[in-house]
Amino acid sequence: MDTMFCRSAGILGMLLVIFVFIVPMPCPAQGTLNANIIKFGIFPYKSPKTIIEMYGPIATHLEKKLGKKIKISSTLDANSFLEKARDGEYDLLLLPALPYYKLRPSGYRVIAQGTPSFYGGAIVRMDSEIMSVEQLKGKKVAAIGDFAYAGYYFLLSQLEAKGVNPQKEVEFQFLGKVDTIIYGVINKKYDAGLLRLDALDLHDFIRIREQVRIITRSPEIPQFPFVVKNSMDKSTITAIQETLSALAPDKPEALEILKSMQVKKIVVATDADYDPFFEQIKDTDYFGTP
Amino acid sequence: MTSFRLRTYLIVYCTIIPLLLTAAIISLYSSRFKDYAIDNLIAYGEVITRNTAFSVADDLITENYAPLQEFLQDIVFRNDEVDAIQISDSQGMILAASDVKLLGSVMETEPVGKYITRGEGEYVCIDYDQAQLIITAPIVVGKIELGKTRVFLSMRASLSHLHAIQRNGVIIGLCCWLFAVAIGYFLARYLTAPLQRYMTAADSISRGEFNVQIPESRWVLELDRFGHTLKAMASAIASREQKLQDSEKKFRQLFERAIEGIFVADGKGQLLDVNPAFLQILSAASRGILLDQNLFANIFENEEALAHFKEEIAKNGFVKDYELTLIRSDSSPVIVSLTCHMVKGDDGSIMKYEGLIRDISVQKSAEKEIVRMRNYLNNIIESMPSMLVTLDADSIVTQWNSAACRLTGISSRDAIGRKIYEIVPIFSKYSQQVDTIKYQHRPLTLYREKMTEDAEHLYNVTFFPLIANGVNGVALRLDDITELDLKEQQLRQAQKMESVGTLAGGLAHDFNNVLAAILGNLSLLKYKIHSPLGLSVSEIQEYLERMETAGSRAVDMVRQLLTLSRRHQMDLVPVDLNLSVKHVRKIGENTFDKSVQVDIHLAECPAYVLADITEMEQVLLNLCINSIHAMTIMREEGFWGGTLTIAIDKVVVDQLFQKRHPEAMGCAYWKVSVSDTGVGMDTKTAAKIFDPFFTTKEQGKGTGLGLAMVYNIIRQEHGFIDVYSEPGQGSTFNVYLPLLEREGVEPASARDTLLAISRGDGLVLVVDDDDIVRKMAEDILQAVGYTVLTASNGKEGVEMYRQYNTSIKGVLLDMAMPVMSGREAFMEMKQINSEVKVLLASGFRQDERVEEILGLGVKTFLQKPYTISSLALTMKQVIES
Repeated sequence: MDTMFCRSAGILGMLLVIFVFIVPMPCPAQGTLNANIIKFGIFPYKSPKTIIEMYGPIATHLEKKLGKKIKISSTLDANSFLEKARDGEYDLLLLPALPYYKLRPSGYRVIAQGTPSFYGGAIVRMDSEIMSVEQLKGKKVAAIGDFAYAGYYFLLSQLEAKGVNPQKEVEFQFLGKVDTIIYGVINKKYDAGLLRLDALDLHDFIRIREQVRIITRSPEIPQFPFVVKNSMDKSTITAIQETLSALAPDKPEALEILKSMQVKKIVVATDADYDPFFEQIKDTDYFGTP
Repeated sequence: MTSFRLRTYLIVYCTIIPLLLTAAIISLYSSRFKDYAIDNLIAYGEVITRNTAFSVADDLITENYAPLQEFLQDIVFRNDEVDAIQISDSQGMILAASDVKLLGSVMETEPVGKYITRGEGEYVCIDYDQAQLIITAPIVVGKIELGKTRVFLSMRASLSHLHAIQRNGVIIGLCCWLFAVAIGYFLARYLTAPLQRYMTAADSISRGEFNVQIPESRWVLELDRFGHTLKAMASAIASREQKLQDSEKKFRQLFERAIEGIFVADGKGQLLDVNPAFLQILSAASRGILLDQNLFANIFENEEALAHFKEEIAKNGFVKDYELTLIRSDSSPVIVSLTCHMVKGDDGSIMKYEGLIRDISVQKSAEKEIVRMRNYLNNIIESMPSMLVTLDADSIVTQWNSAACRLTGISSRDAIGRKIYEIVPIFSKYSQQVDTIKYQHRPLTLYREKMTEDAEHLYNVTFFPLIANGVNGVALRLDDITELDLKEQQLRQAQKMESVGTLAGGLAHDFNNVLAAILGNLSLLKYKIHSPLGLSVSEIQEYLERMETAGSRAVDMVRQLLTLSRRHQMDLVPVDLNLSVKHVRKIGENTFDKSVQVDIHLAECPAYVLADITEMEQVLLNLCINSIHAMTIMREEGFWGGTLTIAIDKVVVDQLFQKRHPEAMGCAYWKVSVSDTGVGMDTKTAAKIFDPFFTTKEQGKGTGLGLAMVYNIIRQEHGFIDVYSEPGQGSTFNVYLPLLEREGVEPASARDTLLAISRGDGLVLVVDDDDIVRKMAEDILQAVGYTVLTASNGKEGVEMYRQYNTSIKGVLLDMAMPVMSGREAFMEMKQINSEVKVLLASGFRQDERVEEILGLGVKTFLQKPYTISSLALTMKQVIES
C-alpha cells in the first residue's frame, strides 16, 4: 500500500516537475536559431521519417553548397504546417501546389520546381465492374487528404460533371498514404482509390500495378514547388536555385538525390509557372480563397 | 641440493595447489561475472537507447518536444537501472532530458570513464567512480543525424554482487587449504611406510640377494604394482645374470675355438690374452710364453714393418686386412692378414689393441698360381695365329690378342675399351650376328669371309657366346684359311677326279656304244652306197638320225665329265634340286652298276636352294656313288644289288626338329634323302664317316675324301647333313638346305635352249686346225648362205684377215691351235681392225683361257661340238652385234 502510494506520489511529482519546467519553457526548436541555419519545411504528405529519407540527401547537398546548416522540419498535419509557415517559421519550403496556392499571400514565392509534371488518377481492381467515373456513385473511395489535388480534389469536378454529388453520393475516406490506398483497393476495403499515378511506378508497386485499372486521370499537375520567404536575401535564393538546377541526372550523386525526391530534374521556376494550374482550380469551391 | 622427506612434498603440494586453484577460480569467475554483468547492462542500455532513438525521431522532425520530455521521464521512472536519459539535437543542445534542469544546455561531449566503441557513432563509457554506464547513440534517419540519445545506467547492483562473490570465494579458499593440509599429512604417512619397506628390499636385490621377500601393499594399487615390478625386476636381473654367464662362456668357447688368431694387448703392446689359434699361427708352445712377450718387440719381421704398421693404425685407429709377415717362435716367417683396433681412453691415450690374424700363406701361394696361370693363358691367346677378340655386352673390346694387332695394325692399348665397330669399321657388317649370339648363346661360324670385296685372304669368322661375371659378351675368332682353302680346292679337285675315275669305266662303255652306233651306221651307209641296190633318201635320213642321236649322247657325256672335273670358284645361285637330281640321275644312267635300281621322288614344285650348281651335283653324285658302293663292291660277288632312292621333301622347322638339329637356323629346309639297301654301318662308324681320309672301303677303292667334301660343301651352303644307318640294313643320308622362296625364276640348270637355223650372207673366215671340223664349219656356213674363207691355224687366219678384213664380216676362231693360238690370232686381228667380230669356239667353256679371251673383247663363245642351228644362230648374232 505504501509502495503504491510512493509510486503514485512519484509520478505526480514528476508530472508536476514537467508542468513547472517544461510548459513555460520556450521551445528551443521554434524559430530560426541563427543566420547560419536555413529551416527547410516540408509539407507532411508523408510520415516524418519518410520525409527525412526522401529529402535528407538534398538537404545535405544544399548544406555542402551553401555552407549553411539545413534543418529539415515538418509537422504532424497539414494545418499545423500551413500555420507555422504563415508564422514565418520556415525559410525554405517544399509543398504541393494546392497548399501553396493558399500560402502564397503570406509572403512566399516559387524559386524552383521538379519535373516532370504528374497526374492524379482513380484506380479500381482489375476485376472491378467500375469502368467510369459515374459508376463511383454510392461507392467507397480512398483518398490522400483534403489538401491533395491529385489524391482527392481532381475527382470532385469530374464527378460533378457526370452529375454525381461528391459530398453526398460518394463516400470518401482520407488515408494519407499512397500504399494504404493501393492495398485498400486490392484488398477490397475500398471500391476505388485516388493517388498520384506516378506512385504506381515505384518499385514497391510494380507487381501490384497489374492488378489495378485506372478509370480516370486528372489534368497535368506541376511538381511540388520549392518556395522561399520573400524576405530571403537574393544571394541565398540564387545560390539555392543554382544548386538545385545543377543537379544533372547524368551525375551519379545527383541522380541519387533526384531519385530520392522522385523527380527527374529540378528547374528554376517562378510563380508564373504555377499560374495556369491555379487558374484551372480557382473557380472551384472546394479550395476556398487563398 | 637439499632433499626433503616425501611427506613434506606431499603436504606442500596438497595445500598449495588447492590454494592457487581456488584463487584462480575466484579471480576468473569475478572477472567473467563483471564482464558478463557489464555486457548485459550495455545490451540493456543499447536496447533502451535504440528504442528511444527510434521513438523520438518523428517528434524531433516535427519539433514536438513536449511528448518527448514526458516519454523520457517515463523511461527513467519505469527502469531501476536507468539513472538518467538525455536527447540532443544534431548541434548537441539538449532538447529533452529526465533531468529538466539540463534542458537547453549543451550535452557533455566526452563523459569521464573508460570508452568502448560500438560502431555507427555509438559509444559506451564506464564510469567506475559514479558506478555508471553511459551509452551515447546517434538518432539517424536515412543518412541524416537528427540528434543524440544518451542513457545513464547504474552499475551499483552488479558491483555489489561482485564484491559478495569475491568475499565468499576467499573464505571457501581458506577452508579448502586447511582441509588439504590435513589430507596431505595423513596421505604422506600412509604412503611413506610401505616405500620404506620397498627400499629395504631393493637394497637386498642390489647386493645380489634375488630371493628377498617383497612386501605387499594391497590398498594402494601403484604400490602393489611397484611391489610386483620389483619382484619381476629381481627375477629378470637373476635371469640376465645367468644369460650373461652363459654368453661369456659361449664367447669364450668361440675365442678358444676360432680359426683366426685373436689377441688383446695393452697400450704398450704387452699381450694380455691370446687364443689357441694365435698360438698355433705363431707356433708358440704355450700361452704363457706369448703373454710374456710384447706384440711390437718380438713378432714383427723387422723394425721397418713395425714402423709401417704403427703409422697405418695411427691414421684411422684401426687396420683391416693388413698383410704382413710375422716371425714364428721357431723363427720361420708366416704371412698373415691382420685386423686390429686401437682402443683409446677419454684422454686420448692408447688403452689397448684388439685384433685378429689369419694365416694367408696358402692363399698367397694360390694367388701367385692364379697370376701364373693367367699369364700362361694370356700367352696362349697371344701366341694364337688367329685373331681373337672378346667383346662385352656393349660390343666394347675387352681382349685383343697379338694376331689382332698384326691383322688390323691396331695395338691392344688402343683397342681395349673401345667399340669394335669404331676401331674396325668393317666389322659393322657382323653387328647383327654379334647381337644374336649375345642373346641366343649359340656359336656361329661364317665360312670363307672376305674382309673387303677385293681382298685376297679368306677367313672363317667364328662367334662364341662369352658369359663372364654375369655379362653377356661375345668372343670373335678370325682364322685365315686362305692357304687351307687353296689346299681344300686342290683336294676337292682330286676327289672329283677320283669320282671321274670311278665313273670312267661306265663312261668308256657308254662312249663305245655311241661310237659303235655312229661307226656302224656309217659303215652301213658306205656299203649301201656301193651296193647295186643303192640307197634311198629315207634310208639315208634314218641312218643320219641314228648317228646324230648317238653323237648327242656323246656330247652330253663329255659335257657332264667336263662339268664334274672343272676347277671353279664357288658361286651361290638359286638351284632347283629337282633338276640337280635329274642331272645326277642322267649321269648315273650308264655309269651306276646295273644291279642297282634307282628310284627318284622329286618335289611337286621347284625346290629352290641357294647353292653352287656344280658343287650340289657333286654332293649328290658322291652320296649316290657311296650308296652304289655299299650295295656292290662292299659286298661279296653274287650279292650285289639293291635300291637307291633319292627323295626331295620340304621340312618345316618346329621345336622337335630344332631339338634334333640344333644347327637349324631357318624356318624351312629342303631335305634331299639318299637311301640305299647296302651293307650299312654301326654308330661308331657313322660318327666318323665325315672325317677326311676315313673309309671303310678296301684299300685302293676309296680315298676317304668324298663324304668329307660333302660335309664341307653343305656347311658352306648353310645346310647340314645327318645319317641314319644300321648294319646290314642300309643307310640314309639326309641333306638339309635352307629353302629359298623364289617364283618365276629360271633355275640355273635349265640350260636347254631352243635353237633355230638362222640364215645369213657375206664373207666369213673359219680358222680351225682340225680339218674335219673346219670343213664341217665351212659346209654349214655355206649351207646357211655365207661365203667362207678357211685357215688351218692362227697365223694363216691372221694373214687372211689382213688381206680381206674390209670384206670379212665375222671370224669363227678355234681356241687351241698350233703355230698361233686363238688368243694370239685374235690380238693380231684386233690390231688390224679393232672392231673385228670374232666367234670363239672351243670344247671346254670353263677353260681359264676362254675367260681371258672373252675379257679381251671377243664377241661370244660357241661350245663344241656345235650343230648347224647353233653355229648359224651364233654367227648371225656376232655379225649383227
